[in-house]
This record gives sequence, C-alpha cells and structure tokens, in this order.
Amino acid sequence: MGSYTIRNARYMLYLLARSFLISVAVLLALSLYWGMLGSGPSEMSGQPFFILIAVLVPLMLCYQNTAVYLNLSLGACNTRRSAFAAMQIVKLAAAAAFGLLGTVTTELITYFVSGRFSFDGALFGVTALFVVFAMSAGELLGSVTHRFGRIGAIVFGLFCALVGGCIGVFISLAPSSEEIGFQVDMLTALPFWGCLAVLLLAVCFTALTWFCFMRRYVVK
Amino acid sequence: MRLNDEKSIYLQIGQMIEDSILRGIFLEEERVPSTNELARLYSINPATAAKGVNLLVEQGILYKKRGIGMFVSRGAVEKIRETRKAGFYEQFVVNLITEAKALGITKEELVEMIRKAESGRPIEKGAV
Amino acid sequence: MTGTQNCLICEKVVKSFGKNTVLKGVDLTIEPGKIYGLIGRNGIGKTTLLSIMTGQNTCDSGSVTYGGMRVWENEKATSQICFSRELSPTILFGQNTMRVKEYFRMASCYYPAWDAAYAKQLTKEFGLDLKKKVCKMNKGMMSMVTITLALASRAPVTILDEPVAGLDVYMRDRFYDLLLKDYEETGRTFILSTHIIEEAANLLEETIILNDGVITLKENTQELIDSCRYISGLAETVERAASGFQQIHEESLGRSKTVCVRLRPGQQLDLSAYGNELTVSPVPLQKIFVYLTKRQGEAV
Repeated sequence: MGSYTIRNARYMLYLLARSFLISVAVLLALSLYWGMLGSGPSEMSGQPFFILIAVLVPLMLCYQNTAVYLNLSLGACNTRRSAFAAMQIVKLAAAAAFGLLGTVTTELITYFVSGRFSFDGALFGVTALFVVFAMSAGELLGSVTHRFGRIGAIVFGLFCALVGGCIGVFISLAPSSEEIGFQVDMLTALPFWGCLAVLLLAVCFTALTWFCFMRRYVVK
Repeated sequence: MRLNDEKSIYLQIGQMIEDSILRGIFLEEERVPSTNELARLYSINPATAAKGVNLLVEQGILYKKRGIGMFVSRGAVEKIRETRKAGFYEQFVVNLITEAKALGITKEELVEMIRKAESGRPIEKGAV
Repeated sequence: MTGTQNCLICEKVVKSFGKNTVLKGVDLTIEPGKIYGLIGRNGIGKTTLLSIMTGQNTCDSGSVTYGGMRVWENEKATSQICFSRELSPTILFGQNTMRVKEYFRMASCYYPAWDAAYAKQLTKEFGLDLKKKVCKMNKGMMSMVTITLALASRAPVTILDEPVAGLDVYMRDRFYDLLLKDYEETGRTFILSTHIIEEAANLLEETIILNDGVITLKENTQELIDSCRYISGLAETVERAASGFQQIHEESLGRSKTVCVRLRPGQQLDLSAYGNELTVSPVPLQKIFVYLTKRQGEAV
C-alpha cells in the first residue's frame, strides 16, 4: 500500500497546490481591497468571501478528482485503496492549509483595519472542519457523477446551490450591515454538538464514497 | 528485396540471405546482419527472423560465433548451389513439363526452345 | 529483463453488463517476451477483457494472475503492467482540457519505470506540442500521445489499444519500427489490439482471436498463416482435393471454385497429383481472421 499511496498523494497534492495558489492569489487581492476600504466597522468584511472560497474550492477540487483524475489514475495501474488513502491524506493537508490561510488572511485584514492582531484559534478549527466536510462531499458527488453521469452533475449543482444558499442565509441573518463579519463568530460559536454533527456528516460521506463507489469504480 | 506473401516469411528470409551469399554480397567467413537487424529491416518479428537464420545454421550455411554474431560458413556457396541444383528439378523442370503439357507443347518443341535460349539471346536485365 | 515465471494468466473470466454476457469464460496465457496481437470484431469485448486483465475493472467470476499473484488491487502486479487506452476528446460532459504534459506528469508519477528521456525523444519525433489540449487534437495526435505513454512507461507488460488509429501511413510505419526497436532493446511483452491486421501481421509473434466471448484462437502467426491455403480450379476438382481438410471458406464463380482450407497440426497439403488443374496460394492473415470470425448469414 505504501509506495503507491505516496505516489497518489504526491500527484493529488500537486493538484491541491494548484488550486490553493489560485485561492491565495484571489484572497490576497480581495483582502487588500477590503482592507484598504475597511476603515470603519466592517472589520471582517472579507470573511464571507473567504468562507465561500474555503468551502467551494476544496469541494470543486475533490469533485474533479473523483470524477476525472481518479479515472486516469486507476487507468494507470493504481489501486483503489491507495488512491483512497491518498485522498484522505490530501484532505487533512488541505484542511490545515486552508485553515492557515484563513487565519493569516483574517490577521492581515484585522491588522490593516485596526492595526492590531487578534489571533482566534477557533477560526482555524472551524475552517479546517468545513474544508474536510466540503472535500468529503466533493468526493462523494464526484463518484456519483462518474457512475451515474448527468444525474450526478445535477445533484452536484443542487449541492452547490444549497451551500451558497446557506452562506447567503448567514449573511442575511446579520443584524446590520456593519456586522457582516458577524457570521464567523456565529460559526465559531457553534456548539460542540454542531461541530460534531458536521464532522460526522463528513465521515459518513467518506464511508459512502468508499463502500458504494470506490470499491467497484469502473475505469472508462 | 521485399517480402511477399508467396512463401512463409522465415523461408523467404533464408532465401534472401542465400541469394546474397551467391551474389557475393556476403562473403564466406563474413558476418551477416543479426536477427534484430534483419527484423528491423523487413519490419518483422525477431522470432521469425531468428527462425529463418536458424534454418540456415542447421543446414550449415551459417554458423554462430558466441557474442559476436552469425557468419557465413566456409564452402557455403558450394552448398547452396548443390541444394538448389537438387531442388531445380522439382521447382523448375516439373513445372516446365506440366505447363508445356497443358499448352500442348511437344518434347521436340521444348528441346528447340531450350537450345534457342541457351545459345543466342543475352540474359535480359532484371531476370534472376 | 522479464522473468520466466511472469505470465499473465486469465482463467475462466466471465463478465456481463446487465443481461449481456460479453466474456463467457476467457482462458488466456500471455507468456513474457513476445509481441501478441489481439484481434476481434468491433464491440466484441477486447477493451473489456484488457481492462480486466490489467486489474482496472472487476470480472464477475474467474481470476487474473500475473506471476502467480492476483492482479486486482495488487500494486506489485499492476505496477508491471501498462494499459494505454485511446484518449477521448470529451471527459464527462465537457471537453477534455488536459494537456499532454499533464498526462506525462501523471505517468511519471505512477509508472515506476517511466523513462522521461525516452518520452522526450518520442515527443520530438512525433512533433507533439506538450501544451496542447486533448480536445484540440486530431485522432492522429491522440494516438501519438498514447503510443508515447505506452513506450516510455517501460512496463514489462505493455498493452496498446488501437495504437495506430488515425495515423497516416508514414507514421504507422514509424510506429512499427519504434515498436521493434523497443522490443529489441527491452524484450518486454507487448499486446497490440488492432484492426489494421495486415500491416501488423509480420510483427506479431502470436495472434489471439477473441470471438463470441471466448478466445477462439491463440497461435504463432506464421504457423497460422502457413496452415491456411486457397485451392482454386474447376469446382469438382477442388471439392475432391479439399475433402478431408477443414474448409473455412468457399466461393464460386461459374464453373470455378475457390476453397480456403485450414490444415490441422501435422496435416500436409500435397496436391501434386492434380498437377496444373489446381492453383494453391497462401491466405493473408486478414482474410483468415475474416473467415474465422464471420457470423451466421454474413456475406464475405
């Protein structure tokens, strides 16, 4: 299992790095932009965009991975077990990376706006959690799409809409425009059982991916 | 030299090497192309080329020097001529008679033709 | 180079898609160090069989082993095998926007024996643009990419599925030459699945025919070609001469008849008694294949 898991992980990390770099570039640009505008109350106004990226980018990445790259990887003498193991490794790497990115971005914004740092460890944790969730969902949806074709793509579209909708709800729930940054606090204030539920969902998705799809993945 | 589909490929390879020996393209005690070189030249599988070469080795026309390659045996030219002479009857004469019979050519006409061919006309260019 | 024990063996492989049983018990032994040709009609299941043999897809029953080990989900075995499929200009619902260099990057990551220098050399020879996207390529270029992937993989067992599709005559010639050169250097096992039979006939040491869900023939190509003959002449004479031999084809025109016989091992065809009445000629491999795989009611 060892060497091929590493080979797969190497390649998938390369794919992750590509997406990550693009995200960093976008975020930096946005952060600077918001930071420059952010004289006033909207301290964390970059946040909604950040969450969007932290959730959607890994989602898309994993979706493409299982729908497209996996087919090629398995078509090149890889085993399903090693590919799956590599996917989990990359999940953790992405969680750490995006978590870090979120924290750094937040610090940058806060610094530009208020000239001080306010390190919030919970942000890292929550971001990492949602990244894992998004990736697990992406893997499952990608597998469904690979197996069932168009239907899978429709389900994926619906899922994205759902995610976008949730974020929209968060934003609209903010009591005033000055507290758009509020939703992050909401998230970090998620009770423990909330976080656990999200984690559990992620684990369920991963298990479903393996048992229903990966074991009998048909290489086309 | 091109392969055709008239005879087994490996037999044709053998024949072509023999022709080359008769024509002085490969001299006795000289190295002939390896099976891989032959295979590349005629775009055939090396195993087939090897079969053709091995046939010649069995007949004593070629011999193998380990690590170096295949060489034309001493006296190969004579050997080839003898073998072909022996086969001449089957290959040419029998067919000649059969064809002549089918066309109704008499023995006398045949002998006359042989005389004519032997004495007068120069060998046409391109005839083997 | 290749060990003597490393045979790729299929035993009683069965595969169905829904109600359609495509492979009905395939038994096949691929010995190392030979160039094989796998031929069969369109849709007969060649690609399915090959994907099962390389451990990429499952079979309903039966087993596939390489060097005695199971191939399914076994890296020790699958790392020795390269199955180079045809590229497709569409992926899922969109265009295949992968670039050539991405395929090579993937290959270098996954094939343990990947020869990057060789790949570079082939890329130059084929005039491939590494940055070109697959959806923008013509069939010939896609074939060149799959050929490069297969040859540079340096895998002990390399399988090429329709490698010359879309290539012009010159490039096909180049491919056969490259293949022989590679075989000469490495002595590895090649399996070519192809429809362009006549050109490849001289390259293939053994021919395998897949028909009706089973392997109907696996023989040394030259011996197969030697074992078949056309006999033609006056119908009655031909019928007399051909009796006692397996006849795989016949055609008549007026009073003349041509029959294609297939000699069993050990059988000799001695028609000297008939003299000039009959013409005996060899049968091209392509025709042999057509005769052996024609279906009921099909014209030939």
